[in-house]
Parts: sequence; structure tokens; C-alpha cells
Amino acid sequence: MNLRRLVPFYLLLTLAAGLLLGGCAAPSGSPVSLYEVRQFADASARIGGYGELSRRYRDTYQREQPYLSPAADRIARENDARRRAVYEDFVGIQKSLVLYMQTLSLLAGEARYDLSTQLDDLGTGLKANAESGLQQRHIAAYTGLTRLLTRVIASGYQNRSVATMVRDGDSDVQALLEAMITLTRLYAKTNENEKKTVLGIFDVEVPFSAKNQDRMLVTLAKVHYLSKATEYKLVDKRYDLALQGLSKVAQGHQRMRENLNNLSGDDMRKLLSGYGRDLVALRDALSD
Amino acid sequence: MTIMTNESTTPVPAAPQAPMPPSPAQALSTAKQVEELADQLSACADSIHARVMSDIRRHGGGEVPAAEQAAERALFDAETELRQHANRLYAEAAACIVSSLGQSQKNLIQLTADAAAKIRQITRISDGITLVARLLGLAAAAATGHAVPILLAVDALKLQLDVIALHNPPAAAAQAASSLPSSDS
Repeated sequence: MNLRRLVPFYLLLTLAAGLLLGGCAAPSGSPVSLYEVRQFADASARIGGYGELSRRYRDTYQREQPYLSPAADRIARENDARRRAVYEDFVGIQKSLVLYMQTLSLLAGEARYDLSTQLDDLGTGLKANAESGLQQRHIAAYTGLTRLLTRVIASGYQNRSVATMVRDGDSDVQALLEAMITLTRLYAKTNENEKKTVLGIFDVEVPFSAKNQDRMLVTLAKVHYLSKATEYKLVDKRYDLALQGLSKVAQGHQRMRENLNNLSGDDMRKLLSGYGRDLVALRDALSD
Repeated sequence: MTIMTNESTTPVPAAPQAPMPPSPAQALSTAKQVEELADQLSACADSIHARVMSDIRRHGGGEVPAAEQAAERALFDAETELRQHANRLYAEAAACIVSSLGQSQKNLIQLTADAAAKIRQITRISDGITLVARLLGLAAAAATGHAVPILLAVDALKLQLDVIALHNPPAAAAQAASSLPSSDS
């Protein structure tokens, strides 16, 4: 009985304490701490792998060219032109995602970025044609996100809360992340064929050179094979790490979308800081 | 971007700025199918490689006769070429070029899956070389995006698979290795 009457009062106290403590934890003066949201957004903005692997995909021909037969080389050269034609757009998706995450981080905490130059950068937009490398809905997502960011940034971040931005941005963010995941998977498969082309020639030719006078050549070939095999083994891991990172960002953002009214709740904070930690760990693994 | 350029036969407009993009679901399933076909071509290339390597290994590190070397090199060149065709399709999937193949693409995928399985167990090396040639023809035809060459290539591949089935009855699979031209182990 007594206890029950005390509960509302106790709740009030906790709330007051929470507000006070929250005020301390968030230096921007917002009433609740969105520290973990900021951490997550920061880590998402600095996600590694995709940019580097996009470049690697673009430069496939450069690496494989010496190993190709004339017939394969003809097709490879066309493939090279195809990949180069769409590279900028592949990078463009990432740019808009990074800017979104930086803006989200800004909304969730103290100002640390000047985003005006990045916004100019986005102004060019993606080429919505057959060569552009993106599906129509990815283009729509990109356009939607750019519009959202322009509004948020131009309004001086006012009248915008983290929750509103997450709600308005989620479907576009998810679509762009999905595009990045698909592209990374295609990069990996292309790399697999490159690897097998480069290493395959040694598989076949080294046993053919069993005669004694080829010893020096065979030795050099084996040394080259080893260094190439090591290079590809290291690269293979990076596709995996990059994919893991992209999925984590997608999951984390989706959880925020599902918990808009409770972004600073204990569970959500724990969850987000977990995602943030994972992303930092993945990034560290990629920079090793 | 040949899969996209439909000069004559299909109603889809060919201009890059065409105002009629495919619906998202359409585009997605096509991109997935293009990727799947590329996966199958890669798998065929893997089968060719496995086949070449097992032929080479039969010589136990000894010298491989010149005629056989030439055959293995030709097969390896075909493997590399198939990989380029696969990479081309990956690039097209990435660019989400929409082809008008639809259902026939599923059949294609099945056909190449059969071919990959056959390459490992063919009895006669000449059958294998022809099969790989048919596969390359199909890969090149798929890149054009035009129905007629693709159907011709599909027929040629089907025919060769039948020939192999004839030369290679299930019961005879065990003797496959011993009946190869240059092997005498």
C-alpha cells in the first residue's frame, strides 16, 4: 500500500534525475543523451572497405591484363570501359550515405562538421541512365536522401530532431545500403574470376615446364605465384569485412527506425553502442 | 552495353534517357538473373580448370606430351575467356542492364549448370573441347542480348550435351580416365 503510493513520486524523481544527468551527458544541452546515436552515426560515416573495393573493381583490367590471351583480352577491354563508366556513380552512393550519417551525428550532438562542401559535391547527382549502374529505385533513394539532407542542412539543423530524420531517411538509407551490398558482392565475384585467371596460368604452365633447362623460370614463377596468392588471400577477407560493415549499418539504422520514441532508452543505447563498437572493430580490421 | 541496345526486335526503348524504366521488381529480378548466369559461367570455368588439372596430375609430375599440352592450354584459354564473359555479366548486373530474355534466362542457367557437371566426367577429351566451345558460343551470344543467336547457341549446347550423354553412359563413368587418348596408367 505504502509502497504503491510512493511509486509515482519515485518515478518523478527518477525522471528529474534522468533529465539532469542527461543534460550533463549531452553537452549540446539536449534533454536526453543521444551519445550512442552519435557514436553509431560517426562509425557509420567512417565505414571502411566499400570505397577502396570500388576502386579495386574499377582497376581490374590493369591487374589482369598481362595474364590474358588475345581473345580474353578483347572482352576484358570492353569490360574495363564498362566498369570505368559507372565508377563515379558507385562512389556517389557512398558519399550521400556518409553525408547523411554525418548530419545525423550532428543532430545528435555538438557541431563538429562543416557539411557545406559535401553538399555541393552531391549536387551533381547520379546519372539515371542505363550506363549508370544503379536501379531506378536506388536513384530515387539517392535523390530522396539528398533532398532530405539539403533541407536539414539548409535549415540550420533547426526544427529537426534525430527521430524525424531517422524516420524520413530510413527507407532511402536502406535502399542505398542494399545497393552497396549488392555491388560489393559483384566486386567480390569479379575479383574471384580475376584471381583464378592470374593464378590459373601458373597451375597449368608450371607442370609443363618440368624440363631441367626451365629451372630458373619455374623458380621465378613459383615465387610470383606465392606473392600473388598471398595478395588475393588478403583481399578476399576485405570483401567479407566490408559486407559485414554495411549490414551492421543497415541493422543499426533499422533498429533506430523501430525505436524512434525510445532512442535514449537503456536497451537502445546498449544496442547502438554495440553496433558502434562492431563498426569500429571492422574498420580497424580493414586498416590492418 | 549490348544487352540493353535493342535495335529492332524488342519494344523496350534503347535510348539511355528512355522515359520507361523497368519496375523495381522487374529490374531486381533481371539483375539477379544476370548475376546468376554469370555465376554459372564462372562455375563452368571452375569445372574446366578442375578438369585440366586432373589431366595434368595424371602424369605424376612427369613430362606432359606436347600434343596434350596444347589441348590443355586451349582449354585453359577457353576457361579464361569464360571468366571474362562472366565478369562482363557481373558488370551488367551491376549496371542493371535490363535484357528482354525473361524466362529463357532460367533455362540458360539450368543448361550451363548441366554443362558444368558434365565437364568433370566426360570420357572423350574431344567431347570436352567441343562442349567448352559451345559454352563460349553461348556466353558470347548472351552478351548480345538478341534472341536468335542465343537460341542457336542454346541448341548447339543442348546437342553437345546429348552427344556426351551418348558417349558417357552412367555405367561407363568409372572407366572414364582409362579411355583418354594419351593416358596409359
